[in-house]
Amino acid sequence: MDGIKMAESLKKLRDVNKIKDVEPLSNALFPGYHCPLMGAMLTIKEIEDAVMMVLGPDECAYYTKMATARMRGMSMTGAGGITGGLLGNVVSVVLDSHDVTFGCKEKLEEAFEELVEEYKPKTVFLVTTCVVEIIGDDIESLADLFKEKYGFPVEVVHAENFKTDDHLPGIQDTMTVCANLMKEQECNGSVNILGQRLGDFTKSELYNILQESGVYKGLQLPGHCNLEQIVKAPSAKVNIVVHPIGIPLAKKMKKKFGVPYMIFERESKPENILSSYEELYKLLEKPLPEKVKILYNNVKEKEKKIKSKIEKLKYFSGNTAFSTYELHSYLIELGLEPILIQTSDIPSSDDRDLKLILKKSDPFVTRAANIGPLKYLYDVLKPDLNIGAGNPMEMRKKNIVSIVFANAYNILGFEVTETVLDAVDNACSDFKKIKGGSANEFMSKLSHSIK
Amino acid sequence: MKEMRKIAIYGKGGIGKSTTTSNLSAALAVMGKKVMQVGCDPKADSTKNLMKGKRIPTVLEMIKEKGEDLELEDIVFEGFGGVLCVESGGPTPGVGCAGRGIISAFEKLEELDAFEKYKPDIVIYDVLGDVVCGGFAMPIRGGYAREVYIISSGEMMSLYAANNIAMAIRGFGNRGYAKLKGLILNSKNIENEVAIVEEALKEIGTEIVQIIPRSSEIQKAESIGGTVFEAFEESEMQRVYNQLAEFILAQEN
Repeated sequence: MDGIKMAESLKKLRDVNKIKDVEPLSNALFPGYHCPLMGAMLTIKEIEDAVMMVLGPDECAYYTKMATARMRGMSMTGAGGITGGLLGNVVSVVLDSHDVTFGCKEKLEEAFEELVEEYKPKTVFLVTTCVVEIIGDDIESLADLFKEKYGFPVEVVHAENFKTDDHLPGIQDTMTVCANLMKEQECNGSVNILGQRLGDFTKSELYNILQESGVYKGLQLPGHCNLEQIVKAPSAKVNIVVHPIGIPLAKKMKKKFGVPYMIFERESKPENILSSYEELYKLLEKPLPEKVKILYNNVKEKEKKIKSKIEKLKYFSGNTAFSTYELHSYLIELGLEPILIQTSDIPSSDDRDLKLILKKSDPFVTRAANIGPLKYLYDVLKPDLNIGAGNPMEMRKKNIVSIVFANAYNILGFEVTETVLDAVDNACSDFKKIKGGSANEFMSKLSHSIK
Repeated sequence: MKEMRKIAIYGKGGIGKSTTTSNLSAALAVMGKKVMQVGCDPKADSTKNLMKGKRIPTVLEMIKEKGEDLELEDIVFEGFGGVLCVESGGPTPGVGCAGRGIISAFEKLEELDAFEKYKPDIVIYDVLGDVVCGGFAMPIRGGYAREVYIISSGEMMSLYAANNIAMAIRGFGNRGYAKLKGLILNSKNIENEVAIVEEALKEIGTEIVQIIPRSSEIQKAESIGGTVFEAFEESEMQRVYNQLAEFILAQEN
């Protein structure tokens, strides 16, 4: 691959309006985004009492079974001992050419009879695949028939890959259909956490602050939960959406049950985080905890100190756990300069953070984090830092300092700012050492002896 | 506020669905109703007679061209009498999947909230009835159309197609699909045509709701790219289509 040709084909952030306008570095992606079927599987496998039934050809069934077998007993958060219905197994209805031609009603009826007789499920998530969606079989109607016949919920998740190149819609759609399982409840003052797909929310600052103010976590989706928790989710005072995949469910719950929601993403800027806390506690109808103000003041102090030391270093950026464009606008504010952003979306032109970024910089953009071909750009665009995943050996050769936000999915709140500030501070120090620009004991002795 | 009427018109290819549908739409529009006609045939010619013989861009073509930037104004066009015209579109013969195309077009209209924006009194789907696969059954399920009319002549082939369509409706009846409300007889002047059709309807399970006689008025109107309502001040065929329109309006939803 020719790095110069690759660089010549890159577009600037200022010149693109939507992700369609942005080319990937190569058509083959590594590691790739997976299929919505995987997203559905990851979500359903953590719901106790729920059985996942995959409806599709052999390979879709095999793919799902292999994935669940590899992850058996493991949660998305990394916690062990977690399992959904049927001990985390998935059942499948494999379609052959006859079923594709004549529809899958007959086969699905037989499968349900067998499923009920053998496993007596409490809830079934019926997940369709590409073939079913292409032929247009009305699976929703069939699910209604089964619901009526067997007396337990049957929810359909449409997981066709041809409409999306990502597994996140699978998680999002599975979460959203869970609203159909919910029932009207009396408010108990708790909060639901929507969209925490990796990491352990109970380790986060937000969780601790909520606990300390007597606000308890109700449902967490995706996450280990049971049917009863889903049914009772409308008892929450507020839905906290920590990732955009939670928004459709939050909107549905607001419409159906009147549960308000707010967005508390993994943002880096202290002002934005404070604003999120204020909005949250307003909805909770509780005073803002003093601790929040203390944490805010602490990070502002830290920010002041670190900002004074930061050099104008240039960076490449890939996927991180943080709110992408908000992170970049904060890094720019700290004094860094993005030269290439790998991204899976382009915000609208009136987006607050996009405007801030474009005021002070105009980086190249490429679609999807693609660490394979990225190395060909190191010599061409010459970044000082690389944020997110990259090729460590290649970066070392080129004296590029790597910033990886370890533990990022376990943090939420001002600890994100702390993490970003520490990472940037350390990276700048490392960079100075690599370039030989920072004084050390040996050099001090040497310079004395020369004198 | 009166509930929106949603009607699907099915029939064998070439039987006169689009002609009947566009003249029906024109009749309803002249009566003061706000009508939306959605063509569900890959040929995309359902609404030509409402658009002065011009073919409008289809939903599927515009999805391909504009993607997420697609707006309702790109796919909904105002024709004769204010009838809102939409064509789903589809692949050329021999390639792709037309049924899947119908699904995609319907999904797009729903995504863009077409009915909420335009608030038509009546939506009429003009649907290819030869192949009622999952995709072409979309108009009669999922809350799209609530009523179905089949167009047929006395020719055996069109009656077989009518029976096929009726089977689909019956098969999905307990799933809350649309109901078959009647058959519109588009005459080919076959001997004993009405009797033949009435006999077939005993098996199909419905009745003739309107007979549309053969008339040169229709061809004359089509030759200038219009319906009989646009082509003539007054005409016998206007009376026929008005009768059909009145019948439909008189049905309860």
